[in-house]
Amino acid sequence: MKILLLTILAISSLLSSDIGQLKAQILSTIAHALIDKDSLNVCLDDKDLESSKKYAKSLKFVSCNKADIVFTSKVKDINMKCKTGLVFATSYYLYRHSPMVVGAFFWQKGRPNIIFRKKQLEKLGIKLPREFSKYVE
Amino acid sequence: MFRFLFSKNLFFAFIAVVFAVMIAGLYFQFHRVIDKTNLEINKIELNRAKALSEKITTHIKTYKTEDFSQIFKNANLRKKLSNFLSLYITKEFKYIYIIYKDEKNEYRYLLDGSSGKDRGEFGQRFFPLLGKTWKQSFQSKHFVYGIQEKADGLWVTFLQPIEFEGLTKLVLVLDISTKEYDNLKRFLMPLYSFLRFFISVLSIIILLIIIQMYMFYKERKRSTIDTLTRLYNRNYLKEISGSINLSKIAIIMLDIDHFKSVNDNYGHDVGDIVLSSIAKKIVNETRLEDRVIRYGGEEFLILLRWRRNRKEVMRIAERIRKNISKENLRVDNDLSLQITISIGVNTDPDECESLEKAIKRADKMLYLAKNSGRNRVEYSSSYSDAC
Repeated sequence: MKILLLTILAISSLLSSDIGQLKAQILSTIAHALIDKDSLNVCLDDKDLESSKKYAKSLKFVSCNKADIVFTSKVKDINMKCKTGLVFATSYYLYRHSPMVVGAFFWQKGRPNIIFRKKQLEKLGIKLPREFSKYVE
Repeated sequence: MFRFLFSKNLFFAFIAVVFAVMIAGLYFQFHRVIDKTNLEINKIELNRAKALSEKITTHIKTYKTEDFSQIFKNANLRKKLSNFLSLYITKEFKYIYIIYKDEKNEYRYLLDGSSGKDRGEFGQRFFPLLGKTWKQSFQSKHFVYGIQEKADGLWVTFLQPIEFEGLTKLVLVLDISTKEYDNLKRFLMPLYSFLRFFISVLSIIILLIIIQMYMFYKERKRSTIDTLTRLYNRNYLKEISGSINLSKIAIIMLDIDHFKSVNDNYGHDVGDIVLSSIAKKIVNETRLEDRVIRYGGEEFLILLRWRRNRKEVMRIAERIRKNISKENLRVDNDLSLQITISIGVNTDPDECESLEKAIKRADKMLYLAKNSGRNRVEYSSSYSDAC
């Protein structure tokens, strides 16, 4: 899965009429790019992404304290509640104002946006596949 | 009755095909109308976008001193201009924003008239979906646009380059929503759906007619074929009797000699084998255009199509007789029978008033052959054998 280009994914998947399905695919691709595990525990703390839960078959949705990665729209208190340091923001505002988040995936102007924060990736010792480099800032 | 039904079916088939062609024409024409309307709306939208972009560009260009750097440096000015852009946001022009390219050739927001989650911050990366169109916009001095097939709720993205000293520094973006397109769809789609439904129903009707015709032909064929010999039967003869041109045929009537004794001595199963073997031999001696009919129990009728001369007809009849009688017919490993046939030929059926009478004349010749010792051929003569 990691070798899939996010771009190809985003474009080809966008052909799908169901946005929920597309969001699920992007979530899954991001999670697998960041963590090298077959079965991933994901905490989804964003109402806008709820619809994608039923489509993301490769992800197991759990509470924050059991998650390998957290997708959230509100980072507040996340360090205290969650075991993982791997937090992905679901808004650009959150990404800008929370240096601890490793990246952001959000919908803006009808288009999917994905950003990875270089500094945080280095700090956590995460090496992304080369295909994702264009999304690293 | 058969002919009536046949012609009636063909008539319905013809009507169905004409109807199908007309509906298909209507369907494609309707598609053309949709495409054309789409194109027209597209043009109208683009003209509106062009007019609006000119208005906005003119205003933005008043800040182009020092390569628009004022806008880059002054946050208040950016806020003021973003508010200016937001004034033009409507249901139709969903997003209006200005994009620049940084030193790494990545697209970033300069100004954005959107609000809430859709608002791109100054310097934020922008990920376009129509990559080629975007590239083109920074190389071109004229507007370009792309149809958005992938972005949610967007129809067209209109890109107006904003130049400074002959170079495109910024691009004004107008994202046109699918509102007008949805209106068009809402207006035309019920009609389109109905047309599709109508075509589906019609297709089913045509399919049913085809199936019915197939069943009819199958049944019709079954009723005209003798199940034992696979030859035509008298139903077939009755069916074609009206269309036969007596001047173009010769009639050969055959009868297996002493067939009753075959049935009596060896049973009906052997009799059936003899009948089907003789039928095969007769078919082998005739051409495809000739018709071999099982006329009665052990009686066969051959309609030799396309009239040949009398001698040729005589030769064919004689050849059939000889081929059947020349060797014993092998029923099984233990039994072979010497079978002969008697033949009556009407070489000139057109001398008779009807096919029925022409057959009777051949039958009369057959009777003569039987009475003259069997295993022989008798021919009608115009002078002595009246129809």
